Amino acid sequence: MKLRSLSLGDLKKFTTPIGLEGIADGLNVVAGPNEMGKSTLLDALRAVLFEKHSSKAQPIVALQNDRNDAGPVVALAFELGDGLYRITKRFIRKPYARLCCPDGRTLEGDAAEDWLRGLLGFDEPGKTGAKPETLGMWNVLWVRQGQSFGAPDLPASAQSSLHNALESEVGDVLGGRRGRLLPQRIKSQLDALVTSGGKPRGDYRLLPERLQTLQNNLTELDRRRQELSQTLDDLEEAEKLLARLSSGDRDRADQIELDEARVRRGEVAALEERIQAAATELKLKEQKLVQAEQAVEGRRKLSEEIAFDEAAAMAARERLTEVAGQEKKARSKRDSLRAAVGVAEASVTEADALVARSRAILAAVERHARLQALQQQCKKAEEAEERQHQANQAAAAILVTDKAIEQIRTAAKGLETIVARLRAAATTIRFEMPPEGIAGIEIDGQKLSPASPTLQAVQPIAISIPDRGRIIVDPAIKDRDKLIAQQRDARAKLAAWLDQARAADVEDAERQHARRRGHLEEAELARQEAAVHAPGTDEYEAGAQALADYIEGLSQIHAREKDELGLRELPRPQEARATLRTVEEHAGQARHALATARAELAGPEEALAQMQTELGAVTARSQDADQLLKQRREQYEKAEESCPNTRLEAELEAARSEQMEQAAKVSALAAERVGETLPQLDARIERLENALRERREKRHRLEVKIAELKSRIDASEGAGIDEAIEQKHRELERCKRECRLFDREVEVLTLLYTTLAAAEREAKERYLSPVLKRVRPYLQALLPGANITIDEDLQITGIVREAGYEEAFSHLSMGTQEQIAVLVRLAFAEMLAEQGRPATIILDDALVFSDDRRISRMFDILSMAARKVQVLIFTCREQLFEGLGGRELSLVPARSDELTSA
Amino acid sequence: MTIRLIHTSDWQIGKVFRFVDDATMGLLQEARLVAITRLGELARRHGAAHVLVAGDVYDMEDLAPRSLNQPLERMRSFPAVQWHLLPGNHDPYRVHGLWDRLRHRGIPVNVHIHFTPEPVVIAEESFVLLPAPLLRRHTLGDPTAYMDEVGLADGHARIGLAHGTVSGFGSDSRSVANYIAPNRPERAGLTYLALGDWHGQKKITDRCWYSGTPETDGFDVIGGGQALLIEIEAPRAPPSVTPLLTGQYSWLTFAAHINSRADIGDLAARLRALPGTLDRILVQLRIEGALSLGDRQYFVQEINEGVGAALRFMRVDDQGLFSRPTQEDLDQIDRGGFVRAAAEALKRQSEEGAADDREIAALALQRLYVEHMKLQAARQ
Repeated sequence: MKLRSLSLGDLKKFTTPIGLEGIADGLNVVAGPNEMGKSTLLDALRAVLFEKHSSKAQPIVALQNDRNDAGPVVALAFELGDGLYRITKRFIRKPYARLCCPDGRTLEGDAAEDWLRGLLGFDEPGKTGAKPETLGMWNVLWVRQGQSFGAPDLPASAQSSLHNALESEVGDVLGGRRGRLLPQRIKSQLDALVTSGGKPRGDYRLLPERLQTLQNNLTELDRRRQELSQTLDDLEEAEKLLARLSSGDRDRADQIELDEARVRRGEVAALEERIQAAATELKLKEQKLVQAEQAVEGRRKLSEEIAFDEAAAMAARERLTEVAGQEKKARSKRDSLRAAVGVAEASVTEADALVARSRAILAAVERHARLQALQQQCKKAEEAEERQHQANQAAAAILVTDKAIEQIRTAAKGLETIVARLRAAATTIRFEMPPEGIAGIEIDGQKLSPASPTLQAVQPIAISIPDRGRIIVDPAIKDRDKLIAQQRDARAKLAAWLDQARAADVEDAERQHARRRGHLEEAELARQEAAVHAPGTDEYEAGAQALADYIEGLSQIHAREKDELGLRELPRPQEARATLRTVEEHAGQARHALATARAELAGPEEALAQMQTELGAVTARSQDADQLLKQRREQYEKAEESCPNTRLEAELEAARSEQMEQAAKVSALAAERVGETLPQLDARIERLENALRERREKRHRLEVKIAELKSRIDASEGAGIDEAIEQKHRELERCKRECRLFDREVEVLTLLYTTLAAAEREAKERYLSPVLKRVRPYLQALLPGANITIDEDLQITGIVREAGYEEAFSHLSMGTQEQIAVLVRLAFAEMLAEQGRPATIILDDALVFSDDRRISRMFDILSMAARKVQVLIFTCREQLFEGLGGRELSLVPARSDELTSA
Repeated sequence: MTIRLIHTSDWQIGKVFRFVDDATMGLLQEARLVAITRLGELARRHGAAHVLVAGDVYDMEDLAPRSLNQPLERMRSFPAVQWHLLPGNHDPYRVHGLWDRLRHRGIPVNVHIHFTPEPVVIAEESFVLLPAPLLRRHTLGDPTAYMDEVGLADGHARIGLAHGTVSGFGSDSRSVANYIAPNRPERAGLTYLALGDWHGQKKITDRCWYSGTPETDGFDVIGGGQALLIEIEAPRAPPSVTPLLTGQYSWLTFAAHINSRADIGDLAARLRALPGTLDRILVQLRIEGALSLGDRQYFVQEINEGVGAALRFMRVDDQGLFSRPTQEDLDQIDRGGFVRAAAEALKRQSEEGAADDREIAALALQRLYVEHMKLQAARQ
């Protein structure tokens, strides 16, 4: 389809008829500023083609001019294969539609619109006006402002048009609706059996579990069957055994043997008892013989002992006599030695008494000497103490103490300082005259001495020179009066201290002070001397008096000593010492003699003690021997009295012959033992008894076992295990068969589905090839190396970049999305146009988001497409779209004859 | 006096049929019980006072009480008939086993269990019964051997009753379990040896027969569903042996070559024309051939679903029936489009590759055909 001209009147802002003329075959551009009315032109175009002239729908009403209420009129001339058509429609007011066909026919009203729909392939609009669904393919090819972004909206009718176009090019590769339903149907059948991951579901899923349960049941039943079978075998075996044991043949044979053994045992046991009795008798006889032998032997031993005891008693007596003599000798020797020791002890005592007295005398002598020395010391101490006393008294009499002299010296020094200052300030008056001249001169009434004709004047003085009159000298001294007053005060202070110290002047004070110090030193010397003579000791304090008291104490002790010693006169110390030495020597000698005597005594005393002990022992032994002998003799006498020796001998002989007789009897009985012994018979009896008992018990056990086995068989009765096993086998087989059927079904469905899906996929690829074939050159121009993917609903799903990775369409930028969408629209239009179907592309304000590079590529693409299909571009970017190179259309006044509104 | 006996065996009461559905199994089991009643009636009708059951009364040793009692109650209801039961390999005699339990519990007075190999004199009928019960499932050693040693009773017919097989495999028949010498009647002077174990009726010699099971229980059983009427005129003379029909259900096996829709029709007609009531017939079909997808579908509808519903049970072995998709089949699916492409691919797969893969592909193609047809039907 080629649009040729469009004119409109009383439509929106256009009250006067205007139009577009000379629309070319290829690329056309309507460029102009905003509000120029580009979109209004598009509205008019859509209205005249797709809306019913009689429509009262809102979009139609909106076409009316705001200021007048005239009916909008649109006229469109377009060219199809068979020539030029002209459609004119007026809306709202006196609406009409008129289609002028190339064959000269003119159709009016609905007929015109029906014809138009047939020509262009769109659906009749509803009451609310034309919608994308009714526009069909035109909705894809004619893009309104703001709708060019994103994938083209393909309503069902548009898809249908495209599918028709595709099928007319590649044939019915998709197999129609039935074809599309088949894979779904197979898939749903497969889905009912397995999950998408191929895992069984529903009944199919439960089958393995059922199979396992059945197998388990079967195993359990088999086990029970086996058990039952075993129980039956056991029972049969047990009953056979019991039958054998219950026959009684063995028991009878064993019982006969047992009875025989018991009889034989009784006989053997009786013989053994007799042998036993004879043996016991023999033992008795043997014991009697032993007793008789012992009696004889006892009597013989007793007489032997008596003889022995007699000899022993004799020997003891002899020894006693001998030891008693020795003891006597020893005792006398000891007594003589003891007397010598007594003498030695007395002489030692005497010598010790003499030594003690001599020592006391010497102590008294020494004490006396000490007393005399102490008395001399005491006297000297007393003298020194007296001197100290006197010197202290003399010092106390002088008042110039160290403190007083210090005060006086300070005061004197102060006075001297002031006097010195006055002297320094004083005016010196020197008389240099011959002595004669001096005579007669008086100073303040006092005559001037010629020896010292120099004066120091502080105060005004009057120098009377006889005959001549007086000279008054008044020295000018600074602070003279103050100094004089200080001098006076100092002097007064000194005088006061001197007075307090009872000193005439400073020199006197110094002298008195020196005297006082001399006294004090003297007192100190005396004190030290006294301390030397009467020092403090442990026994008395320091000082003469304490010493005197001590001396007194000593004197009294000494007097008592003298009385106790009975001495009038004390010997001389040397004498006393010599005496002591002498007596001490005597005492030493006496002690030595005593030690010697005592040593001599020790041996004999010990010997005596031993002798005495032995004597005691010997005495006791002798007595014991005597006693024993006596007892033995009595014993013997008694025994002999009761049974004389001869009788004992006779009894012994009788016992011996009895014992021999009995032994012979026992041997005779033992010789009677023949054949089995008692233990052998006992063992046989025990064995037979055990065998009988064991069989009895075994029968009993078997009976119990049989009862138990029977009870188990009884318990299993009615279970019908074999029948149950067969039933389970049947169920198991059926279950396995079911499994196989399911497996087979899944295999078949899977193969069928995958084959169908693969075929469908391949068919779709083929089906879409006409679109892709046409898009591809455009895409190469826009995005070199890229490929586009489109689904079977002709929706763009994404692009495959040169590198091979696929990007979803929705993830692309707005600009790219719009550019690709335009390419697809171009491809669609191209395909339709090539098949002779009406197709024109209209883009209103599209590609505004494209960058410079892309826009120029898009221009190239549009130019390429415009060779095959008419393209109308509405844009407000006049300058930019100059580069497109299409025919530029502009609004021109239109002929008003057909456009005059009613 | 003519001795009349009914010879039967292999009742296999309690038998479980693994391959049939539950309802059919119930019917088949019930039929085995009904056969006992039939035997009682036949005995009455032919004036046979004794029914010899040559082993395998029960299919197994440990049955539920109901299964055990059902045959006894049937036998009890024929008080004039003496039933002689012999333990077989399926129900051997064991101490305290099945038979002892029955005896302890009490069996009808007209039922006799022969669990010891000892002659039993049936004085009023002038015959001696020589039973050879099995004491275990498999016995090595001929259980009838003892019959040779049993002394002859004057004027009495000697009738052996045994369970086992008369045909040995290979040269050493002793290695065969429950082997019975086929010449036992001659060796032991038997008038007749009533055998059980083979479910199909079979004459071994004039004096030795297998009665077969009274109700067929397998497709491989030939001559089942029968019993034998034995009539003995004299101990030495060979007995008169007459087969009697006892079974309700026929077990039939068919093999057919199917290559066209017409073949399918013929087969259906043949099956529908089987004699007797169709729901008393069990059929095992072995089909070979090749069919188009459409015909294969037709086969399922006509044979599996159609004739199958008429019969008591039908087992179809179609391992040898192959799909041979035709151009028409494929065009039926679609003339173009991807479904057609898929069909072509499956067809290719069904013609090449491993056998199992080929089979799956063929089934998938068949499925595609069916599903496509269903969709088409839904649209119309």
